[in-house]
Amino acid sequence: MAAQVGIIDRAQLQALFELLLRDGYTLIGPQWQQGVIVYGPLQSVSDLPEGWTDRQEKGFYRTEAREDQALFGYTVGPTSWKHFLYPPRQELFQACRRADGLEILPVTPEAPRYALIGVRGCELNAIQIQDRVFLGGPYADPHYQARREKAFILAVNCTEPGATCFCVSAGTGPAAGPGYDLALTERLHAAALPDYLLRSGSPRGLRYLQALQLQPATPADLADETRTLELAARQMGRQLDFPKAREAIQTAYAARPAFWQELGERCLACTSCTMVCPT
Amino acid sequence: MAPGRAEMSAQDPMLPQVSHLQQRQQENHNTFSFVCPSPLPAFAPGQFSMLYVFGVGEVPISISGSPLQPELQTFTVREVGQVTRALARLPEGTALGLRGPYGSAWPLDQARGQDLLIVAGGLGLAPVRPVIYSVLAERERYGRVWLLHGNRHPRELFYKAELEQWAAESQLDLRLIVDSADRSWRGQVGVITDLLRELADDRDFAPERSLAMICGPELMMHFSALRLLEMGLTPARIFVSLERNMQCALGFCGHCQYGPHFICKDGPVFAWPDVAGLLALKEV
Repeated sequence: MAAQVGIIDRAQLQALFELLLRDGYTLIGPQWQQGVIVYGPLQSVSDLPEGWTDRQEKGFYRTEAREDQALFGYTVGPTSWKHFLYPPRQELFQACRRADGLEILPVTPEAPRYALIGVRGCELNAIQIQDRVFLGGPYADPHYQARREKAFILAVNCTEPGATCFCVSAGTGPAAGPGYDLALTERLHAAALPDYLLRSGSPRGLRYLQALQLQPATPADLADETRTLELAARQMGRQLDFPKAREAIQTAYAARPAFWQELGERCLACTSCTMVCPT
Repeated sequence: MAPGRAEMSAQDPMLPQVSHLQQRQQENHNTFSFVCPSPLPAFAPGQFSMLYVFGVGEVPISISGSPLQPELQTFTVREVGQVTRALARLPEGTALGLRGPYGSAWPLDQARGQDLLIVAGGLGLAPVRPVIYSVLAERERYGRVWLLHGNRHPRELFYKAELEQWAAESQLDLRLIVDSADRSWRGQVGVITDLLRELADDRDFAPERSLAMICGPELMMHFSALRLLEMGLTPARIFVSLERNMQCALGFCGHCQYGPHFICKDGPVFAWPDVAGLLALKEV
């Protein structure tokens, strides 16, 4: 299946949201709440964090107003999609005491149909790592599987990498994919609202793309997108040597026991790191 | 009944199967054994199952019975937490949920033709008992078999009649030691490494053809393994069984993460080189 590309404006993005809502999807996406960009249910494009960006450093996160009306002009927030793909609470089975013993009733995985709006390349990769854990091992989690298979992913190619970002080193960005249904690149204009280069990544995504009023993307538009993403790639705040990092972690216990001992002693087991980690 | 339920249960690894608690037997003041007819696949020595007590919760328990009778799963449980306390109060015949078996097994294939050193501390005797059953069922395929067992106090000992019978029949060389004793105890007092020290002087002990399986508290396993290394066993001939609070038993939840390993699926039985560095650290 060849990907199709076109340009949509904000009204057509709203039309896409409405098509997804009409098909029974619950839209989950970014929104500005109390100084933080978090993921939650969306009804319309106006719920997106328009005109907000974020500034990140180690131990530092602040949202700030932008000069423009970008909808996706932030990096990534402190919350992750895993809250929706494997929620903290999940009914696994029902047990009923009967006169003759115990009946254990399975719970059919009735997953919500989520459309995840604004998934970054790094996050998409994180979801694919989760797939390995929950679907790729000797056991598959049927509840995760149901949510994952139903989920529609509208990815966003990242044009706003943060000071702590390193997706280029990881090979997971700033362009998202593969693994999305649709991906968009937000294009900022001096005198007009941003518009969006929309690309299909699955047959399901293609159906939605074809239902919209697309303006054809010219070679100049595509070259412009490539340039924007190359610029983003050069703005990575961090680099990470993955083979070296892997080796360091694998040999860490033996090589630096005192370091890990001290880290272990400081750990309060509060699980905050687990909560914010995208994987 | 909803259609496709059997299908579902085959697919859903979190779903317990119904079994019943039978042949309950008190082993010592706080430890008891029971048998569950098993609807589950056959187990290998060293594996564990998840036991579900209605309305209370699940708990991972090593299978302590004979793998030659895979239709039964025997468990030896000490009352230490909510679920095990509830288990202790269940009358025979009570239905409970069972899923498993999970985890890695003791390397019996590797042990055949070798001398076998089973080193068990306290309740660590339970997860190695299936090894003993397997070995005794084909005793001629193994060399010398030592069972070194340490416990805190003579009143903590369990499987006593069975141990004494195996020793009396010369099936294995049983050596017991307790940390502290009362006047009725005529055996040794000390720690399990004392038994290893004695073994080192034993003319029949040959490190190059010995394989060790150690199960007990981590500190005990750590020092036993170090002692065995001093005695000339190569690291790859030493195996330990680790324990953590397994919740899902499937490698999903991470509760039993131990450095880079998941004890539920990579363990509980590990070759010494895989965990040696970790056992030397506190609070991993």
